[in-house]
Amino acid sequence: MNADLREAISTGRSQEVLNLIAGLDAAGRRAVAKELPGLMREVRDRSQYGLIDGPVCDALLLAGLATIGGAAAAANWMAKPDLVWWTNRWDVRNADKAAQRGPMLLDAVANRPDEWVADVVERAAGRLRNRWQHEALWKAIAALVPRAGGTPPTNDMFVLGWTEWAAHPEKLADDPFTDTLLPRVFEVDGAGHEGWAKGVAALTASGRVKRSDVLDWCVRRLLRGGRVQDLRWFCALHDELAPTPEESATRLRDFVRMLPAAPGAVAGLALREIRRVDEASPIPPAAFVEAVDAAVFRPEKRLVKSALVWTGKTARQGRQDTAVLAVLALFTSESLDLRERAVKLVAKHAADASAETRAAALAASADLPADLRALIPGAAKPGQDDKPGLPVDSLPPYLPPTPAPPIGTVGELAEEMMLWQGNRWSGFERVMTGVVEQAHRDRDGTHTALARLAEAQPRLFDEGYAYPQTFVTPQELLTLALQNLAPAPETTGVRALATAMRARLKQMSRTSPGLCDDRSHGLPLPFRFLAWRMREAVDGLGWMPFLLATPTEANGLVDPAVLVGRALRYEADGLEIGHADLAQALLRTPRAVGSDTLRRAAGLTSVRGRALAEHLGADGPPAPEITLRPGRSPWHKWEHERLRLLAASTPSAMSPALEDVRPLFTLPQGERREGFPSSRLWSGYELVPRLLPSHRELAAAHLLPVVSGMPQVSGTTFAHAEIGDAVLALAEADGPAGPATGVVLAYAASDRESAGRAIAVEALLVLASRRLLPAADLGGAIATLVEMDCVKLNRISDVLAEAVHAGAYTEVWEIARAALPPLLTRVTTGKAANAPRGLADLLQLAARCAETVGARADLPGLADLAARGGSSRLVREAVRLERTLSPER
Amino acid sequence: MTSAQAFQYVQPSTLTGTGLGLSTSGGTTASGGRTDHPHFFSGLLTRAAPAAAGLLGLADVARTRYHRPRPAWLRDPVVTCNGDRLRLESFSACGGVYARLDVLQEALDGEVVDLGTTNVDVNGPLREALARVGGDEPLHLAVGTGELVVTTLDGATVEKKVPLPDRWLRGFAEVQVIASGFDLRAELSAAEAVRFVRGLPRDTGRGGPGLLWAAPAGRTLRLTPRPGPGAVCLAGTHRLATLLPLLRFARALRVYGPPVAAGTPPMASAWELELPGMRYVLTLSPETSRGFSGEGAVLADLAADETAADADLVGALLAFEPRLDADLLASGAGLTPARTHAALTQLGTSGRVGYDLSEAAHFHRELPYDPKRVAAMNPRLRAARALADAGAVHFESPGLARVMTDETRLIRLDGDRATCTCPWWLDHRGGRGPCKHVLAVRIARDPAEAAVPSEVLEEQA
Repeated sequence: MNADLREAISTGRSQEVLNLIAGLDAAGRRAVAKELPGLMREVRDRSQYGLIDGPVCDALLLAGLATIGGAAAAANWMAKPDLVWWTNRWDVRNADKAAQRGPMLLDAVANRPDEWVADVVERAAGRLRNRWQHEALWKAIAALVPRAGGTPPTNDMFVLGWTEWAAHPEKLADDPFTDTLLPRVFEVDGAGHEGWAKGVAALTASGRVKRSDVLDWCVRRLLRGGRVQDLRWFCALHDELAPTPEESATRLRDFVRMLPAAPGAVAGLALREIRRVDEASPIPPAAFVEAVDAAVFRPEKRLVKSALVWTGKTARQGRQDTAVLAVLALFTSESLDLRERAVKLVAKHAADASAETRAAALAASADLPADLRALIPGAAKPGQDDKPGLPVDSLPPYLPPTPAPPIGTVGELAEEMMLWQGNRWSGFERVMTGVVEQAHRDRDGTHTALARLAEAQPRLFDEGYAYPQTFVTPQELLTLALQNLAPAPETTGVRALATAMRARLKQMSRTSPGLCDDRSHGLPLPFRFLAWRMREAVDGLGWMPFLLATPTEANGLVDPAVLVGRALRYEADGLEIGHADLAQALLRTPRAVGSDTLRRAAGLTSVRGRALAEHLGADGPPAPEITLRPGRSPWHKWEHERLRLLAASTPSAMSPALEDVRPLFTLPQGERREGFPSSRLWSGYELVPRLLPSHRELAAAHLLPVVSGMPQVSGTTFAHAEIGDAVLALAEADGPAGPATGVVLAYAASDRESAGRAIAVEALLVLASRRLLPAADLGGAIATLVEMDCVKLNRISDVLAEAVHAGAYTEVWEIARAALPPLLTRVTTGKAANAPRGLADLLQLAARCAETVGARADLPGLADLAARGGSSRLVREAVRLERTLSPER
Repeated sequence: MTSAQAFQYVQPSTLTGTGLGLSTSGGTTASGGRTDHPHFFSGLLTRAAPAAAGLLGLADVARTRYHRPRPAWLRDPVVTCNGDRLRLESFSACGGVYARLDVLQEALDGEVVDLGTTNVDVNGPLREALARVGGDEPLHLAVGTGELVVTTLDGATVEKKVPLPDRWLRGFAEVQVIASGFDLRAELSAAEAVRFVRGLPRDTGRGGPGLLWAAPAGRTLRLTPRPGPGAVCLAGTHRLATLLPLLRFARALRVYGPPVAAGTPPMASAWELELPGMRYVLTLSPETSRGFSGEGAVLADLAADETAADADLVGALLAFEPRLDADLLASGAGLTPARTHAALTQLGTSGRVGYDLSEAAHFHRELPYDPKRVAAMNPRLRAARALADAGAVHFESPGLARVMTDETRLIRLDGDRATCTCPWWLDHRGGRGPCKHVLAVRIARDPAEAAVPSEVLEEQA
């Protein structure tokens, strides 16, 4: 390559480049072609950001097309990433404008044979990708098409590029590629968009393309399927074309076959067309059967209803048999509305059907409720002795989770700590229990293991923030444990160390009286309680053989027999039972204690041992009365913080041993901060029920501030506390359930995330199968919270429907029975402008449950709503429920 | 590493008035070894509608990237003729979903020409024609063609070139090994299957309900976010979408998975839809973002010294059997059951056997890809060998080792269990097989193990 050419390319003087190349012979051009890649790299490396300037790109591209010999190599050159991204110069649409800026690609290939250009075009089109950078490549290829026989390439990417970068749906008539590429638009996934429907319809109307062709392409595209967003404009085009019934009749089979598997929108179109064809002239029986079967099986209620209407309207045309048989499948539908329509259709037409059909209808009606079954011809009329209700599956039995096995060795402890990952209160108790037990067994080994871990995983331990910690953290306590385990300096004797430790213990119990440690002030109360007890454990490292209150059950309960055994061992070793440890142990004992255990407990002699024995022997403290009150989070007062439902309690007399933890029972008063989650505590709330396993209502009361939502920032919740595990732990806990538990469940059932709602279903079922579900309280909570606009009734209805599917008919009926009267009264007395979304679903669910359990009741407000008349879904469901609950009327 | 694979067909697969003609590419047959366009079956497909819908499902899986969806390459499905049944397999572009349609004897009526494995062509017009299949009429089916087709220059042949990444290939092979550890967890009736699959929460691949577990509850399955005994992991509900069009034919839904306890990390799972005369099974990786190739399930089994030689021995006995009886294989090869199992694992990673959950048995098929690439060494094993060769492993006691790289890792060995202090292990806790440090320690402890993988390579080469 001579210096002039090199200079011309590097400065982007395209016309001069082509002139110079025109003067070269074949060998000269080959030489230029060989040097071009090197020159391109050179230019790129010289450029400021590794991007070649536009004019230089042009010059390189033109030089390549003019000199490179092989078509494949030329196509590769066109698709070089360095050349492809920049220029938009080759736009076919504005060829004149582009030409003013220099020579065109066609000038570069002027001396080449047409076949060669066609080959380059075909190969370069193969290099196209669906990326924005390739827009320029697409335009360059398009610019060469006139020399390639005028027919553009038809591969997928070129078609996509055409629809995306070149074609305008309203100017298709003027586009040179329309004739070749338009049919392909109906075959390539993702080609075209909503705007194309009108454009293609206009083109069809102008007669440029054959109407029957477009209809064919359209139907074939819909048949081929794909993502619903890709198919939508073909549906719109089909509507624009407004085919006559005769035109659709020729494509009837395609529509029928489209019906079962196509996306909802497409299936809707198909059913509509089939019905139009059928209206014009009845379709063959086989097609009718296939279409109705497919439509009735669709998940969209809209389509099923449309199929039912169609079947009902046309059954008299000698289709009674097929009509009746097709809708029998709906007798088991969960949608009572559809079921009722199907039953009525059968009732109307079965008389004209054959004997076999009538027998099939009769057989299918076996599981219908009595009032609907009576409509089926030949079915027995409901007698007085009929017991209301239907047989149902029982709830799956509750299998309590198995507790985690104790940590047996130092190695296991290290592993457990790595899995715990150091930043959470949940799991910390297990880790500390392991540390306490291992430190007692092998103090040096434990210290070595912890020290090694601190080296490998510093984040497990205190990270030593520069700013003063507001909270006590698990890492901090672990660091303290590591320090406590360090071997004493040589100069200090064992006795001196023990003295020092005792002194420190005393000091600690003086400065942190119970739960009121200043530093843990920002933590919610149960966490402060845990922090207090863990601090106590850290101070007892080495001499404490184990912690008294370590749970023996997964839900946090301690077997009283084991507890007494542990206390006896403490006394036998001459050790004092920890203050916090005792309180925790008492909170974790179940209400019923065996007489044998009580006898053994009488042998306890120390002050705290006796307190334990007394607590076990007493009838148990009366459950504190928990009441509900509306409140607000104090954290973001300046924001629009919604009212939420919180708990209050005024504990009466308490067991003396529990006086230390009275704050846990009195709950945070007023709107103090400590009850509410802060940004540092997004998870770990499942430990609250496990700290208070035999006081379920109390645990629920402590959970309420979290479950009712995190602080709002600018209208959106900035963090979603992980409460799912806490709700389930609450269900797994022991003790009676009441209003607070009901509110927690109601909040959980209205969770934004479907995963959270799935947990709510599970919690409901756990409680239901243990016969502990506070159904009436939950129903009341739902009504109250809906009224306060704190929850979404439609989500709760879905959760209850899931519970019903698992077999909780009785429980859900009880819930609905408590929730419906206030909700209905609000609607009928006009207090609420609109009925809450999901009320109709809840009514239907209540009807299903009442029908199954054979309930009879008089719900206040229901009759008023049912008497309103009209055809709204709410009123229809109310009428149905009314009929189910009092069939005598 | 990625290299291109060219699928070559004498003509596109078509569905015309004369029936469904599936074109075959190069593959292995029982009669002639490596063949260019094998001919497996000619006859009637007595259950045309479900077969067509199943084939469409396979094609959908093959062309979908379930993780962060975007247009992907379609890698043509693999067909295996096992004599009494046809198995069609495909593997998603993201490497996390495996689909197989087993067309059983009940749905086939015709002549089996040959046994073997190959790719079949799937194209747009065929999809359209398959969607048009319905009703009860049987359909003529030909897999491959007996006619001698003259390859001409004017484009009668179909050639498709697609990139074939190593991890995609490895995943395709390893999914069989992973599935062989599954047990039946639940069986749903048709009505419950419809309700369950249609009731799954929506997932888009970019956001959704996240990781779910399907726990058996009475007649059905209930979704919960927490694992528990008997539950099956379901990550990415959109990965079951290809079951939806098949539900109308469903007779039952069977769910398979490995044993699970509370707190178990995500696991793979399999969902099998029983259709009239056929079965459609989807195997899902533990998470949408994870392919099967990284699961490391095979690494433990590649350890034993004699596995490679055993695999050769067992491999010679396969003969495209639809159902490999492990006991028969063991007695045929004169091996213990344990060694036969390890040999089958080895054959599985080489793409030479698949696993049929419903039969709880392996079947013979030779993936129609470059066998050397399928069997290439796992990168983790390679890294472990590099560590061991570099002398990075130091034993402090028989149960405790230190691997010194830029950072020091502590490896604790306790019988079969091993733990490491590297972040990778902490993230997966052994759920994706041993990490390279643990493997390096195992190799260093027993040098004989180190010899195996290279031997495998040589044997395969």
